[in-house]
Amino acid sequence: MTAADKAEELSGKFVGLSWYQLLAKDFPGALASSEAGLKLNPAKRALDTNRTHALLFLGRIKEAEDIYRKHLGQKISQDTWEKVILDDLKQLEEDGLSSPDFSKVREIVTPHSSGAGFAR
Amino acid sequence: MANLHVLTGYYGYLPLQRREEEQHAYQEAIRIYRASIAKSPSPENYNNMADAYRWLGDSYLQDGAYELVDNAYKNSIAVYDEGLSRFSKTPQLIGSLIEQKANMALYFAQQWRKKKKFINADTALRVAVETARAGLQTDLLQSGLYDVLEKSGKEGEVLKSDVMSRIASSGIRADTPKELTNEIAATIDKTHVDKLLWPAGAKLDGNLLQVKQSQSWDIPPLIPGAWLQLTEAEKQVELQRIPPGTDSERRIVTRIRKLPVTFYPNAVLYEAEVRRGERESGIFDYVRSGRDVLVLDGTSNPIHDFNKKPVVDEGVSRTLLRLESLEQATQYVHFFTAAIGGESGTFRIIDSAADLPMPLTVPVSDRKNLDRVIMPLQVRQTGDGQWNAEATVRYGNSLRYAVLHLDGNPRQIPRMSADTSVGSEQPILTEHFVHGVRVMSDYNYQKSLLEERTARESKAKRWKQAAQAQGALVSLMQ
Repeated sequence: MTAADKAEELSGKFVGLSWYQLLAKDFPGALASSEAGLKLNPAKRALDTNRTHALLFLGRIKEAEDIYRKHLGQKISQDTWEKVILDDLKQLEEDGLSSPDFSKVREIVTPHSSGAGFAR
Repeated sequence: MANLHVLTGYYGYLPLQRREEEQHAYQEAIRIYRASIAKSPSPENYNNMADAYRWLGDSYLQDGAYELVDNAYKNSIAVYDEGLSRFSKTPQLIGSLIEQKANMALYFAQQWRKKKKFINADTALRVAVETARAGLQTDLLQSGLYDVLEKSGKEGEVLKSDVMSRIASSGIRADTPKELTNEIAATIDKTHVDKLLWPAGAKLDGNLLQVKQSQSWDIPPLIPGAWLQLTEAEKQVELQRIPPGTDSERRIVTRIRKLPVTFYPNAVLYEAEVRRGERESGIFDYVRSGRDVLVLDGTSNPIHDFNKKPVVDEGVSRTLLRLESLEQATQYVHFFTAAIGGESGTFRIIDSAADLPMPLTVPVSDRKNLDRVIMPLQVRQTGDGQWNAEATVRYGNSLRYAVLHLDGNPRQIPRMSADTSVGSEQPILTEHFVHGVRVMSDYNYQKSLLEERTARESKAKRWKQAAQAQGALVSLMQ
């Protein structure tokens, strides 16, 4: 296994860790884990999704909005960034985690939407 | 010639009570032994000279010349000490001298006691016991020294009893006997071997001995066999000639074991247990065949190069590797597979689940299932003198059936003719060569346990616990 393979495998584990931390409402932990994973593998978009959700829950709205927009149209595995974000929001809500800003996120990532910003 | 003088003294002059001639014969023998030692020192020469001093002392004893007796007996012990010092770097030679010295000192103690020279007897007895104990501390496998201790204990009891009788019937100074009996009691105490068998620094805690270092080796040997751990003295000698390995300057060798191997001439496989820090331990493996040394580093090239080294055997030029007998072929196939490694670890031929290093937490049912799958090694010779081996091979944490072929070409063998997986992701510790040292790892096992735990917690939507398990997994991988 090469160093790159090891970094890829470990960054994948950081994706899982930051996701579980979001669901456990440990938002600072989720932010730290996703950022640690991105240091290993900056191209790992799945880490960006969790990082952005963590920023949103931590009230760092502007940073979150910028990242939600930044990766529009990019691929994460077989899916688009937008689809992954929408699926994540749905999953988070099903597991009892919601935010008033979710509707705005959906506007940003829904194709053909106006892409309005957060009302802050 | 020296022996002749001793014999003349003992069988010729002694029965005739011709003391002076007898003593002269022993002195002449001593002179000749001394010259022999100067020419070619050997444990036998030292023992013979010490023995001649004993006969000389015994002769003086008949005369009641106790100062001369004391002098001769002390010279006898000094000769042993000289021999022990002379051969201190060849531990295999000093075992007999230690035992002879201890027995000689015990004999002197008995002689002195019979003459009621109790202080001399006590001193000699102490030499006997301390010599035996010191010998056993360097190598416990010397049954003769246990006999010396047992006899010394009995002699100590007789001596103590004689001293007590003497107190009752004579006017010896009041304090001397008490001190003497105390000293004898202390010597008798040292003849008890129980704590001698304990490892250094061990203490009894409740019902179980507490030891500083695990007495069993943490890492199993490279190949099966009757391994012998080097004594401390042998280890020190081996350390003087241990081949350098990668990263060797940062290692501490804690112990060394060895196993004679048959597939190279006059060869011994050595394993040095090395530590870096408190917890990290590994095995540095090397083979010595005559003057040639093969250091194993997990790759096959050094072995192939070693195999094809030219040697002349009984006038015939050939290569080092010998695969003529079933024993040689079987041992070699074990050796070669274990000595090389791939990305997932070493290849190990296994004969039963007992050969698989597994964490203690692995259930018995899993062990039994593995045992059912494992097919013991079968080695057969082909019609043209080559060898085929059918084996269960552990690679990393997986098991495979494999057919190996040994065609006698030292550059190529063994070659895997066929193989198939019979188990993957098993709860087996893995083994790797890291910087030239063989190490065991439970990484794969711990990783799979944490992955299972994370999946279980996630399925139950216990997110905090899932995050904890995943965090532990990340820490492990980091």
